[in-house]
Amino acid sequence: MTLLEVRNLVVRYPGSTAPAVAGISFQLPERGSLALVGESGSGKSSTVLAMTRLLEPAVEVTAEAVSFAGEDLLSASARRLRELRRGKLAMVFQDPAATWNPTRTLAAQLLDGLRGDERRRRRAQLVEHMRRVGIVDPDHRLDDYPHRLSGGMLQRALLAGGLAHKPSLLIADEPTSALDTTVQAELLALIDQLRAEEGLTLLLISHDLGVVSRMAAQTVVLYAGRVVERGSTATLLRRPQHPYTRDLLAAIPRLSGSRKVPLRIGRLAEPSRFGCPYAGRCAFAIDVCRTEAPALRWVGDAEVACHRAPLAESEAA
Amino acid sequence: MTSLLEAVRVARVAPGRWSLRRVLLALIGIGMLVVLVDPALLAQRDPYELDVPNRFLPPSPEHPFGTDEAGRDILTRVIHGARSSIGSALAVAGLAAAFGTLYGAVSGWLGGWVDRILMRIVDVFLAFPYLVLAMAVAASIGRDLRSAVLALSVVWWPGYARMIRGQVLSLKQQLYVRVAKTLGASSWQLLRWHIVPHTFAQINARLTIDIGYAIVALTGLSFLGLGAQNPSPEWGLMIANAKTYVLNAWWYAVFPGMVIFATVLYFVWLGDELAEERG
Amino acid sequence: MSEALLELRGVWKEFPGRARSIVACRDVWLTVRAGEVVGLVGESGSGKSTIANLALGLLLPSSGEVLFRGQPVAGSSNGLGKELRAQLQAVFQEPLLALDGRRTIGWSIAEPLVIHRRGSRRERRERVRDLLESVGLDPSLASRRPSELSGGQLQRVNIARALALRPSLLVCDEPVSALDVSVQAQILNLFLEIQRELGIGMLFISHDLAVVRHLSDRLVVMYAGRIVEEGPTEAVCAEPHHPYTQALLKACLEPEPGLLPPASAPSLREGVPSRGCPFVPRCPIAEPECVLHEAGPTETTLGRRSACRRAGALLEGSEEIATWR
Repeated sequence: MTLLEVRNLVVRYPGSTAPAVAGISFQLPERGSLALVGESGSGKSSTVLAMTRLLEPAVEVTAEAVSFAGEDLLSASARRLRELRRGKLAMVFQDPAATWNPTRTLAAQLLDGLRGDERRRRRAQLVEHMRRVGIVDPDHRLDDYPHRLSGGMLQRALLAGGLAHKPSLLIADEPTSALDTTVQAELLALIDQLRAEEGLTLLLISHDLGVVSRMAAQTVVLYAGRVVERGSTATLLRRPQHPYTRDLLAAIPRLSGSRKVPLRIGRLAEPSRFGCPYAGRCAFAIDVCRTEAPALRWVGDAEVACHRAPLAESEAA
Repeated sequence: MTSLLEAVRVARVAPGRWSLRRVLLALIGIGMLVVLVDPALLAQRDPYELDVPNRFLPPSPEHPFGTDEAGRDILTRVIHGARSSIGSALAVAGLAAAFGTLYGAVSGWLGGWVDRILMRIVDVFLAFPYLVLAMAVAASIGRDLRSAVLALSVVWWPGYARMIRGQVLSLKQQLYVRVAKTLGASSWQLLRWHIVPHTFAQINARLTIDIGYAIVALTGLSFLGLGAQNPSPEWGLMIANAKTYVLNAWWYAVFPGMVIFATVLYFVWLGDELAEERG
Repeated sequence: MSEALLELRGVWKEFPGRARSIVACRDVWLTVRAGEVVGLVGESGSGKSTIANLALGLLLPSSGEVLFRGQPVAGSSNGLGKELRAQLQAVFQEPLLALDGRRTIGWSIAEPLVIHRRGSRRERRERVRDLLESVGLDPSLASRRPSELSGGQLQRVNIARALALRPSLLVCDEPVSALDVSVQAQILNLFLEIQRELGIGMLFISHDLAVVRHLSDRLVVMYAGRIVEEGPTEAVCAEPHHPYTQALLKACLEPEPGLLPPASAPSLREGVPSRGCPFVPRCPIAEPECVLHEAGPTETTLGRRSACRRAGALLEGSEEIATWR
């Protein structure tokens, strides 16, 4: 069953000519995992902010559908949204320091608005959840201020806070980008473990294909606010169909690759206004790419928005 | 890798550059400049000309602000007085800002014990009620407008020193300053290129507001007889002269008072606007 | 062996803290030779940025010596003397913050030339043009301000400025960490090109092992202010001699199909004990001796050093390590 569906989402910031998100669609089945991958300007963060209605009212958001468990998020009342955010929807953001209020203890922030018995009961639950996410001595940690905890621990505490509400969807926006490599691995392991135990559905937003390759079954590659490729992560990594996906994979230095050789990356250019947005950077671009925007179509096991797909295996820049 | 915060920042609408308020402020500013450069353009009468038979005339089309005890036209005197009142205020704020900036920049840049000593001196100045201190200084160096300006500058600079020191302390931590150090820039080059120019915006905003306050302070000193001396057309002095006649010639004190009020208000608004522009 | 450019000899750096002082570097010995790229890798708080600041003379060591071509780098900008200072240049992580927002790009690139009185105004303008072109930027950008350029362009500007005085050593502190993947690739290519064509020595600091490995000849791994392992890059990555290096290698996530999420680590403890080996709380092969005494770096094989007394166990590839993670 589909838990989350986004159909033709468009986000336009006031004063900017091109929309930040220009018609993005994806579906996330219950207990599934999907990653939105892209670099800055790809619209991945705007997509999440628009979906969860965290953008300022001046930003224009339209969509054919943004439905979560059968509920339309775009028309939901502010009150209902708050309920969802403190309930079925758990969120983790990139910068733990910016997520937490430095002047209040963790308990004050995680148990906001609760009093008396209810508070005591929920606190006991929270301590349990914190222990589960690997926080040592959670009862004392709860009374600490955020600066006393490391970035990794703050992300864990946020996850624990989310778990307390029995969420069904976890939205993780670059959850490990601000963390050290070894801490990142630990946090990803934790997220995976929680997914299995709680039956969580995961929407991961990341620029890091290494993280995505391990965490998400499905991947949506975004470029300039558009979906350029969509399919199973394994297929996408094994046989990337869109030139952008290929370039992105080639641009990452590998531990196993050869050292001291230039990484294969074409020249960079602003996204093209007409035709395919990647045409200006693409090694495969032909005339039609500069005039006509390609639509998503099935190529093998994946959906690709490219006039030239399927690309021959050997065809390189 | 746009983070949440960045996205929200982008979403904010940029402020308009030319509001009606700004146009108005600019027009008044131009008018004020004209008066400062050549008051005779607006007021053809002689501000010193005595006309005793026509003394204490109430406001009329002939004398919109009335006349004073010597029959001089008050509007003419207010316009000519702008030069000494606003001009002196400019001098006070300018002198104080120049010295305070230098002092604060040195203190913040050198840091350590130099900074501690320099800042204690500033604290001593700030501990006194400034007008009392200014009166003491003015009284001791002479009773004229120039000594009033000097006295006010002496009590005014510590505010700038404080502000600039704080800014320099944070500016010298900036990455581009550290980079310039690795390039081999001398302290003088660092201050001149990368530190002091970055304090200008804040100085400007404060300076304009301070001009307003300096007008009040200067007229205050003149009112107490420590500034401009008769018969010069200075606003504070005019009010001081008017206080004897306030019951039978209300216009004599009220109009110069209103002009002071409006001028101060103008500079405070201008300062606010500049501060807003700075973001 | 070529001449040593940068030498850190037994460097300690302490920062006064509220309760007790924080030791950011303890007993660091590090050499960068002419034309050599030394990669320095470690996580936040490992002291790698402190090393960058010490090497550039932006910080004074609490004890020990920081030498550039045999002269102390010292704290003040004039400690080295202008001639040597010109040869030691830097590129930092935040390309936008490293440029004065009030100045044009051209002004910033010419700044080192002005400071060192190189050339006439006209010659400097020419040189700025050449530098912009050599880092792959359009010379017309010289009249723009930093806020008008993208992150990748700005980092190129920073590199151009660092190259203006034809330095012999570049200290790069996380120069690609704030950049997008494709921009990062381009900047890495630029560093490779600079290194190949100009033969500049580099101290390349990053938290990303794959990035450091890609560029460096020699790899230095830091943990909790110490150098825990050092050796030729390829050898260290192929066969680490310290459990921390091994953990770093394992935590590197490469985009390969069909991989499972990282398995949960048995220990989530953080922090550094006040005595003994700093890695003990996270170490899978620690023995009682490690808790009590810290082992100094010792040579394990030719040209390699490790601060792990059980490096031998790692070399044999004991089972306990294989099952970790």
